[in-house]
Amino acid sequence: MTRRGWRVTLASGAWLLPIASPLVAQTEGTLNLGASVVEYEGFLSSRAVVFAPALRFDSPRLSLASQGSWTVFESGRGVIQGNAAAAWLAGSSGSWRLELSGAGGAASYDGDASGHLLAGARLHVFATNSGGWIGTNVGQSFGGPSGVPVEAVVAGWSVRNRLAMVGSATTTWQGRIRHLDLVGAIRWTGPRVELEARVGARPWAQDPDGGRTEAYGEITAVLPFGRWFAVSLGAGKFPSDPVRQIVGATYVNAGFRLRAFGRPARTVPVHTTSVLAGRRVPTEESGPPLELEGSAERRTLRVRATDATSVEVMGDFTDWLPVRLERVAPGMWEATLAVPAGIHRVNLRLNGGPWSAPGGARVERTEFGGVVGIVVVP
Amino acid sequence: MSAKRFGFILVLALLAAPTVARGQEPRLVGRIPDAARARIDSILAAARVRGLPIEPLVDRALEGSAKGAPPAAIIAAVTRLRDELVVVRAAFGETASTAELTAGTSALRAGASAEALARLRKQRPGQPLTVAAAVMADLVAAGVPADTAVGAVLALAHDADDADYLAFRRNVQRDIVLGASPAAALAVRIRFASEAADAPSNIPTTGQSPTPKRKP
Repeated sequence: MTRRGWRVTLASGAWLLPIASPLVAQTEGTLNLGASVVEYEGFLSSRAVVFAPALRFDSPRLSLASQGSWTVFESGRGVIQGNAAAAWLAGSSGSWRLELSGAGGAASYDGDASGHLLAGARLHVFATNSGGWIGTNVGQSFGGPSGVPVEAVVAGWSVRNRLAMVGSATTTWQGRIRHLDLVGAIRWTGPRVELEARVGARPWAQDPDGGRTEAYGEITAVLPFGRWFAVSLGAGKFPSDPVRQIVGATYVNAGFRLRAFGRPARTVPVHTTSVLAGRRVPTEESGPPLELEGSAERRTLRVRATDATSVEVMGDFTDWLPVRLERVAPGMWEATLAVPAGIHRVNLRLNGGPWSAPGGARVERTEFGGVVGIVVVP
Repeated sequence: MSAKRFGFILVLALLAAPTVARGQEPRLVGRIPDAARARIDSILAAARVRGLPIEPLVDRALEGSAKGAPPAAIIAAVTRLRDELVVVRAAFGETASTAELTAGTSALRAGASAEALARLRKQRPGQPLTVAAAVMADLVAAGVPADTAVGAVLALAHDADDADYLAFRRNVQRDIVLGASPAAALAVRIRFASEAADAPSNIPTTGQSPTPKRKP
């Protein structure tokens, strides 16, 4: 799911239920066109245009949403992405209701691909005009940071006439990346305009590659003109999301939405804050990263390889004899070896295939026709 | 020393004698084809005489064997590494450790010159060079022009410890992953490091003024 999709889920999850329940099934198809100026973290500011068709189906129990987008930057490079999400609501049990969801997405930027799959569960509690939920998402990311992504969310919402508010706290774990996000959002729906503002903070972040605490916020306005057309304006800043491999950015955008069919244009604004896919895609020469922990005499070597049936390592510290790693958990392989501090030449082999360099290690071509990873052990 | 212990040591010595007497490296026995092993043993013997560490040479031979390389390729690889060790030891000095020499050969292979390695030694007197040389090689491998990478490592040589070097490398690699050009990433990070140290940067660049980032 893109940042946009995530935002929609987070924000509308609360009011999706009261909105959806009285409705009969409806299908909506829209076409979004927009232009923006966006500055992703680590990049210069750039202008961009986005073309984003979307399809949505809502019934009292089931919601399905999909969206594609094609963003072109002024450099000529672009992002192509597709996302889909589904949510199913169980029947009420008093004030409680269970929601199960699934989401997936894939993106390609400048030749690098990434994706994610997430399954989620939420337990909702409802009062007359307010409610809340606790939930979790677990899944898998591809082409980005290693580790199984896990999100835990607690949230509350309230609706008063034209005003709706939601607040949430989300903790994310993915390998050695961990952070907490606190987000508050408010939406006001007037006769001529709909305004949505969101503020958030990441007061705690751990990331070996430089995670940081930060504050962020966004504001959007949507002005519908009749049944078939709406204009949107937006600006703000959103943080990076390692689970969905979204690079944080600051943006200003403007766009319009054409409704192809279905009910009047929804109030989800057009954004061009689309994904810049992570660029840590393993190549045929580099495998998954090799993590090392412990002291020189007894160091744990760990490889995360979900699809592997066997993982072997060899290097100068094994006298160049293959050592088979043990599967200690699904997708987790370990061995304990003596690895002194210093520079080591290391190879990994998955499923009996070719020897590769560990991901993240410097890859050096050898005189022997393959590659070797150069690993610095402090 | 007891007679029993003396006898035990004598037995060990006699067992080892056939290989040692022929000047063979025991780790290679059974791992390297005989034809190649004789040549490699002679390279190792010559290296010992010159005071070079033989462990990296043995490791390189074993690596070739483990990867099924033909004898000629293994001999060529060991010979090349021996030559590189000679160059690096001349740059780093007679007291350089095996790890430092190995890191130096890696930097040499990546594109650093012997003169640059000698300057690194001169600017870090009495400090270990292993990580600094490894970072130099990593930066070049990440796409930073060799002279720029060498300049960056040398610019940090006075004040940086190993952890600083590793953090510096990690930040540069992260910037590159995020899309910055290697030279630009290095320039930005070295500027930050220089500002933190309140010292001017003397990094040579590739002749063009690097922009800190690129457009997506």
